[in-house]
Amino acid sequence: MFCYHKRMLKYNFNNISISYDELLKRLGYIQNKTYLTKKILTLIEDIRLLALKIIHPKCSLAYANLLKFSKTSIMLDNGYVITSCDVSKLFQHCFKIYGIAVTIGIDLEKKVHDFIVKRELVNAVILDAAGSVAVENLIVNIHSQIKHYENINNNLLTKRYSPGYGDWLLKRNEALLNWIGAREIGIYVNKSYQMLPEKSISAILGVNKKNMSLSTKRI
Amino acid sequence: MDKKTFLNIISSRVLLMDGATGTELQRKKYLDNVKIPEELNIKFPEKIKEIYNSYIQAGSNIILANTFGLNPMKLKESNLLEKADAIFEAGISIIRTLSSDVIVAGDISSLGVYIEPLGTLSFNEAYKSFSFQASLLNKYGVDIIVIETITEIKELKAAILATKDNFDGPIIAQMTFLQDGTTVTGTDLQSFIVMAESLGVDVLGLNCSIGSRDLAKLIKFVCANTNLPISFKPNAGMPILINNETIFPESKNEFVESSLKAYSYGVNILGGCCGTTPDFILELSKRLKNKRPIIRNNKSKYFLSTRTLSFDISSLKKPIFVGERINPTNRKKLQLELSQNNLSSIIYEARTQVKSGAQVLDVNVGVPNIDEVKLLKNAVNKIQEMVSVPICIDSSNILALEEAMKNCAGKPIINSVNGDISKLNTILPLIKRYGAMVIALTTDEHGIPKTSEERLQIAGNIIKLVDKYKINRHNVIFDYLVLAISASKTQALETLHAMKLSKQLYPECSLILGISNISFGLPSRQILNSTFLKMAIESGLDFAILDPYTDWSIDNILARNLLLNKSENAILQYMQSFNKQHVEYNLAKTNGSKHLSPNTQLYNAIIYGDDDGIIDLIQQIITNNSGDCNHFQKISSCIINALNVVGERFASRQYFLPQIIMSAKVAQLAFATVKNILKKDTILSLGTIIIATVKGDIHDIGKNIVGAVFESYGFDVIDMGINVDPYSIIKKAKQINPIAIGLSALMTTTMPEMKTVIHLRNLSQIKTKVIIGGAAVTKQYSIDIGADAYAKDAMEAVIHIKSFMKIPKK
Repeated sequence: MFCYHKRMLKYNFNNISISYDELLKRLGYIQNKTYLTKKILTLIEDIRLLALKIIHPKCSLAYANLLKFSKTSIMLDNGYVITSCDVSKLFQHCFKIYGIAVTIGIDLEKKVHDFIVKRELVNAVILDAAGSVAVENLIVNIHSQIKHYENINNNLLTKRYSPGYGDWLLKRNEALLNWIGAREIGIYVNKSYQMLPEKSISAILGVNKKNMSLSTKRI
Repeated sequence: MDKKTFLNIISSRVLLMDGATGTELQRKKYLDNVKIPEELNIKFPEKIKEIYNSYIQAGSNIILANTFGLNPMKLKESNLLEKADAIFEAGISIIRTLSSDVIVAGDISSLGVYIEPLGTLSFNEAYKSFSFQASLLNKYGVDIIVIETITEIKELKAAILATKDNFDGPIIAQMTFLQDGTTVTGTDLQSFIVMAESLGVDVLGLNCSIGSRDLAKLIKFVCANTNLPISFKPNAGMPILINNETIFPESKNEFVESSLKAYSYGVNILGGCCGTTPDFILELSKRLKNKRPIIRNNKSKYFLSTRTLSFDISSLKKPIFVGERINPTNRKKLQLELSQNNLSSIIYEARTQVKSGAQVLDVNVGVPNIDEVKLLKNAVNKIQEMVSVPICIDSSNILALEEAMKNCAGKPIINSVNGDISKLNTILPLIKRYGAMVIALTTDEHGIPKTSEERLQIAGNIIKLVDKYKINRHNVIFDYLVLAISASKTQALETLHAMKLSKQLYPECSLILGISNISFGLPSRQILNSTFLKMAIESGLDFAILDPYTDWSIDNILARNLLLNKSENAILQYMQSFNKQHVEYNLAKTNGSKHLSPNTQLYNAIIYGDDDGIIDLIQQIITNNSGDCNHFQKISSCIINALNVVGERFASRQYFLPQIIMSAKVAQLAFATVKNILKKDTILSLGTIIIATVKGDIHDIGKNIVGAVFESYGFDVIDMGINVDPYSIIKKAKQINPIAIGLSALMTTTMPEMKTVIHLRNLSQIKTKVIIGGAAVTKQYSIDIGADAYAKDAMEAVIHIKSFMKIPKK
């Protein structure tokens, strides 16, 4: 078990990027259509660099084997049950499930709030968008590391799936986060089932063998 | 333990710190019944005693007391503030009961909140928190204090200063770096070394975050760039959380091998951080037995620094350009902006000077009747966010100087002191305390000396006090003063002569001049300025205060003759040659907009989101139309027309979100200025709109953007904030009878609150329209719940509001 963990642990995610192009896209920029002034370009670059200084990427992972499967739910070997027809359909050929929770911490959103209080709304909007880009890149990074690891064993991954998608209710997110141990990295949900810090993502991934049915969507 | 004793010990042998405490407590599950790990000191002292003892038995010479997170904020959160004394005392005394041979170290770590501008904590608040800790550690008798796991350079500064003010013993300062040799906030290793050395720590080092192999690579750089003793405390690899367990992947052997490498580079104190155990320390102890420290004898270098970069002064091409344009002297527009706390011109000057080649920025915000302490601090914070060059803090206000020095994220220059003894005795202690460089003008209370000998005499007096305050002479930059050649033909020679002698008498001290003074009163000033600069470089000039936008490549023979006082006719020859020439070496930007009417300038300013000079522009428009009683309507039309164009460009995707916000901001400023000047508040408003994020939802950026755009169109906006109860919204609407209520929700779980608001509105029988929006909201949903409109963005919201008012679109 420990060796199994160790093979995955070579990877790190501390150098998460916030690329300029991704940030522009997140702000609604369309190439060859949207007009950019030097002032805006400089401002976006300044805030992008600020974001890089104040994000704190963290990740919590869990994995378990699939024990039972029905049309409306799946059960893992640790007793965790996910009740959702859509999840059940997506993971029907999987033997193992990963749970991932990532966050970039609270400092970025604190700074966004600070900008709002000071009525520097442009800075707030750009910084908020930078945070979204960063957390998205973080989960993509973790996803690709898991994919690389599983590919060595001739396994494939399903797409990522999160509470709130399809018929998997958003209020089930808390149970998912508990399984993943997301509290350890500072993620929790409020009464409205909103994850805090705001720039956090939780998801599950299924693992199946390469010779399994191709009806399962793969990344 | 005094500093001398400690330094003697580490010069004679390698010391071993302990390993991890936090992860050991976690591993043994000792944290289940305490609010914070430090509470163990009083609640379960036997548990912390066990950990301490395990490291003493493993061979540690230095044991860190369990005081890592004991800052007032965390203590208050855990309701343990009143027990602080007891916790500190117990954490320290337990070690003493176990051994009288070990060195007891007080442990201070990060507050967990960034200092502004990265975060919201002020420097002074951070300093107070660290003072609290350091004073208690001192009170209960620690031998040394270790400041560790710091990731932000200003926090390091606050911690070191607070510790020095409350504790006379040795201080170790450690920062936490990523594999690429920077902290999470961008500080590189050299900038850390510069800060730690300039603030006078006894030992500096690295700990935590990355494993021993990667940290050893970084410590190699540190060992090659400082002669201070060094400490090294890596993790047992980078942690990862899997199945609720934190795993540190590095083995004992990997840790020991990397630590030995670190020792071979010249590290003096070794230990372990997260994930290491007593076994790790025991093995390391066996391998380090009887090993003596490896002597490092690096060449001394002298740096200026910023948050992210440091500059070796000796290796930079001379002269180092100090940009002079952040200075309100004789600049009315800048004075007005500063008096209104508007820093936009300062930011512009900072960026453009750096782009034009300035390597240091002189920052002067001295304007009468302003709070210079606050303004200078804000200017320094803002400039540091925007550009990565060192700052030269220029002020005669001591309080403003000190506040700015606190908030400098790197090593600054202070402009300036002179030969006035009382001024020197006030400022030099601050230079020493904050580790800054200082410009020393060779003038005094009697005025500017005429001869080079008199100036050097003043320099000598200054150096005596510099030595008295134990300031390194490399931190002194002499200015032998530049007087206009038109006023005295020999002055340039006096200055250059003084500089040459200074380099012989005080070779450690740098030289600086404010170049452009030389040409005052003469034509084609830049020819003289540039030529004089060349001559000053030949005399040993290190720094030059100048306008980086201009051309500094000129070296003219007539100018040289004048400066060297070569003949009686030199000035005449110069004047005859250059009086009729209008050679313009200035590369100042031209502003075509000056030829447009003020109304058109206002229109363009909104279209392009440029708030420079808006207040003056509005004033000008009102003054030009003072006889016209409809001038508000005309200004309003101009603003609305511009905003409509912005809206159209947004709809066609020519503009995106930041641009509409910038345009909205300019329009808001324009309206606010008009209201202020005409002093007609409510009459000018087009109506009131309430906006709120619904109950249970805490997202507010979208709502704020919509509010800003509404204001830019001249509406009064009552922003009720986030997580707003539907009853409160309707109660407010009954009170003020707004045109509309705008509701925002980001989540499917909070959207139903919108239906509640509409339901309550209907029950209350008020006529106010409801418009909804947000990431999860759709047009269909708005129809289903009976909302009056759905808006996908701020501009669409304005269109709906206008339709509610039956205002025809222009």
